[in-house]
Amino acid sequence: MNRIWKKRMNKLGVSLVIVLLGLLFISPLLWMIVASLKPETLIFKDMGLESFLPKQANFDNYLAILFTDSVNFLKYMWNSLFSVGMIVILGTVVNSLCAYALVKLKFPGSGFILVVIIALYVVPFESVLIPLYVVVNSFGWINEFPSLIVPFIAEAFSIFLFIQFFKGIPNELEEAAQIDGANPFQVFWKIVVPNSKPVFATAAILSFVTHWSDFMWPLIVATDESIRTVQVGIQYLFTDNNIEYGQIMAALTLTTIPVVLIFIFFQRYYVQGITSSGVKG
Amino acid sequence: MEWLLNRIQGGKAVRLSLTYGQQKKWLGFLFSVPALVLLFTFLILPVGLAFVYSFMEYNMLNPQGKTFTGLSNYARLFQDAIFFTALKNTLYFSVLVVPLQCAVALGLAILVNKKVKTAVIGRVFFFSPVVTSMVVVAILWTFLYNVDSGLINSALNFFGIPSQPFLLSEGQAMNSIIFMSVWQGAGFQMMIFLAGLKDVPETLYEAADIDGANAWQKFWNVTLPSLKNVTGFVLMITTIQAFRLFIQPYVMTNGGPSDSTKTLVFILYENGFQFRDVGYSSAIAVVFFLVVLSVSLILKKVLNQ
Amino acid sequence: MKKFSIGIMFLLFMGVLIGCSSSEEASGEDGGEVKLSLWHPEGDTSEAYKEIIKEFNKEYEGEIEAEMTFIPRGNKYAYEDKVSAGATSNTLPDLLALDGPNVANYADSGIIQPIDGLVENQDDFVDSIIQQGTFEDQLYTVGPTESTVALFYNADMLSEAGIEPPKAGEEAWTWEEFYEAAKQLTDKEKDIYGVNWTLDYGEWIIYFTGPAVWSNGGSFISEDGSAADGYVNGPEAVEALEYLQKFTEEGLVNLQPTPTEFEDGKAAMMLMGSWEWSKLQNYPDTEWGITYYPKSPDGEQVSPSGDWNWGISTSTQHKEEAATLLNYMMNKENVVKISEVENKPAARHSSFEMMEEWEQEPLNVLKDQVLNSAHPRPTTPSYPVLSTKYGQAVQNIFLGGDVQEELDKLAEEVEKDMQRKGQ
Repeated sequence: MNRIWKKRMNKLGVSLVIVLLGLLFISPLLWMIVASLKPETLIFKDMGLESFLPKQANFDNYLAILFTDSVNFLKYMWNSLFSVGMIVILGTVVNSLCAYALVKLKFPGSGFILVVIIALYVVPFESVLIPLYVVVNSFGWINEFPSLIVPFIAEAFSIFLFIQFFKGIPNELEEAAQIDGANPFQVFWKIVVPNSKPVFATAAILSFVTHWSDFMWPLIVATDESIRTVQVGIQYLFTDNNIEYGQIMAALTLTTIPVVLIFIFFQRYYVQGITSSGVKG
Repeated sequence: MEWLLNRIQGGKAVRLSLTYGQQKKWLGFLFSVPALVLLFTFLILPVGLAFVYSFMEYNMLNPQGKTFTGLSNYARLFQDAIFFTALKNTLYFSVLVVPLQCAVALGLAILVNKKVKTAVIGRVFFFSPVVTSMVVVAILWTFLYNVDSGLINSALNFFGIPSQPFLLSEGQAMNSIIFMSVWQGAGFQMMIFLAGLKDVPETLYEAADIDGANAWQKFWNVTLPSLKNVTGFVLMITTIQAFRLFIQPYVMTNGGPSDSTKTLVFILYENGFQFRDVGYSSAIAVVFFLVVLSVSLILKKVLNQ
Repeated sequence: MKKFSIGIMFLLFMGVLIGCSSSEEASGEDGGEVKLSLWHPEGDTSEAYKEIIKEFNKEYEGEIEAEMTFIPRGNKYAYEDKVSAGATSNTLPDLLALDGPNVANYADSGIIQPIDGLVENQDDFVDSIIQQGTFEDQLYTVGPTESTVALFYNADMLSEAGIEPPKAGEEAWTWEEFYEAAKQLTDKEKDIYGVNWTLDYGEWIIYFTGPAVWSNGGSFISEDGSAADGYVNGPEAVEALEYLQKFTEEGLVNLQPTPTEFEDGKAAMMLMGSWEWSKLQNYPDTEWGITYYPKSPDGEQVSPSGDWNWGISTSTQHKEEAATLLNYMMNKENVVKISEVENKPAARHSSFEMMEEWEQEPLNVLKDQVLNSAHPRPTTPSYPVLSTKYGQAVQNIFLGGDVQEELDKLAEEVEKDMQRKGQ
């Protein structure tokens, strides 16, 4: 009895810590949502904790950005979803296969490639922006969807991440499958992937988040309305004169929703890996 | 998938005659080709171009007028006081932020890995700063750090500590940015740790329970050793990310006061885009690349031991 | 398994796309009609420009067809980055909108060309617009609107304190009078500041502090644009910034204001751009007023100027048609149309006269400044370095840095850049 009680109290304590700490982390997001519901003149009037109270809440800011003639918010949203979705889907496939090949299939030269990939992660995007533009422009992709997708499919970070986790998969598992007559691809598909759900989820989430917030690149390659992304699309709200903070917060709230949904969707794959049921360790 | 395999290896007969080892070599190459081709075209090639530009006088608005000037950009770089300030600031930031952020991330990951109902909420909440727009983050943290009315100063005053200038002070601005960055970025590393924790065998904890280990002993003797690989990886990528610090000072302090928050990527951007000096900016990029690469390789050596 | 094959197929498909899309070439002419492309930052004026372009295309049907692309600007230099990328790949439009201070840099880099003799009714433009568009004695750009910075005030708070703001340019407050008023209006107990000025990091700092330097007889660079040392750090400039520094040192200005401090009644006055007036209309419960930018005791009343301009790119194949379109956009009626959207001062005298509310209080103050005391920002290819580093220096000065020291450092940086550009 005593032990069960102790366990329960323990769990309650952990929950309490999570919620309290969590509030510290989510407060800006909450503030943003509250501000998006307020009339413009009240947003910065309240200071401190008072600013988290949704006074005179209404949806005017949302209506204003969703129903202006000149700005097709939903279209921009779709463009972003499509291009980032493509990056995530294709990227996860391409990068995990590459990582698997480098770690488990060790072909000639794979060691060297590994070092190159780490080196590539070091490159700050700001330093290759202009040269990359030159390359993409030479393909004739300016104002075309491939310019938003293709350069970002292969990602050093993702490959690096997959490598770390594939390394930990015991070779015994593969050897067992191999004896059953599976080829290396089948081993990948039937052994590696099911045992690595958490890392696939992490790679997908982090890749989505990174590219969802991209601004500089889409701005430069995608000026055409038909493929404009949402981060670029909402920039008209930030022009120097007469910034409407309420509308900015509403737009940012709307652009945050897909990321949160994606996160919640993928985080359910954080299940205990089969490898940990005893084979390893 | 079979059809693809057959195509590549010229039919079933061939396939049967290949050993697993041979297949590995072939497919290994094949699997990595898409990623390698893409990386080459969209990363290695631009990096190569940047390298070439670093030996040129290149006004971004006048690409036809670019000329080779040898090592002059590098010579200028090593006489540029701001470059050394930026280097120092970047190192300072990295040295402090990496251990802090990794520790916080690990702590959060362990918390949300517990089998409690609030764990999922915790994951969403702790990760939320990563997805929150920098615009909102900057506005709120400027409020928090406000000298007169900021919440942090109110809290300090409550404990009898006088108000601090934070972002307005040469001495405190970088520390303020470090604190904020840990808060904002930890969720990113938390997700990687969380994936790692899912690979720690449950049986190890059960064994530890039987031995009567307390929570700290379990953490020290089970969790940490099992996360060795992941921790090394997280340290490495956090270090590289830390060196790339740019957006926080760009939005919150504009590199000031007195250049105290200027970082290498900040001056790289400033010279390249604001001053349109592609050549000089590329030289900064090359030096940046060499510095961070050597730091990462040293780190990798240390971690491997 | 199936999903994976689809992925591979998609990759192959992308490969095909890579191969094909590069063969497509845009053609400049189509059935004898000249096609003109234009870039302008996206904003409130977009609708007005869309309408103007539509009418133009109707009027010149069969001869010229114009298409304007609106490029998001963001709060810093996003539009300029896009122009830079366009120059890199040689894909600039025929007509290009650019912010005033960029004229020299763009002209010097050779991406816009002189338009001397092409502008209809040139004398009708206000002086500051022509000065802004001129580089090395040649005219490169003209624009439809002007801007200025004035002193906005909370009329209720000023009358309560018994302060009467000046109503005519000759009576504009001197530095001392402005300082005294700010001091009197500051109420530390109630958290009310005498003045609000934004410490935005972009172009704003040189724009709003410039008049203090000019009014005091100083300048940022020498007249021929070849030197900065002795100018931006000369005694007049130092004195001007020491004067402004008093406000921040003595707490008359909040260094970390909220974006709506003045509107929320937490500051009595605000040094702000002409556009502030439309924003104040959202706060009808307070009475607002506008007065002149304060002047140095030894000088004239001066105000800053400059706004978005149009230039013809050097890569255009159709200079003549581009000029036709430029003149069409800049005609009297269209200038009014564009000005009215953002409630901006018009850059043509004749258009300005058509806008009646600018004759009356308080907007007449802004008009008076535009016509009589406007001063353009320096025209030099080193402007980006000057503006950015000046902004950073002033930021340090407001935080208590030594004025002379900060400006000396700045002068050295700008000089170096000038020497490099002079090579």
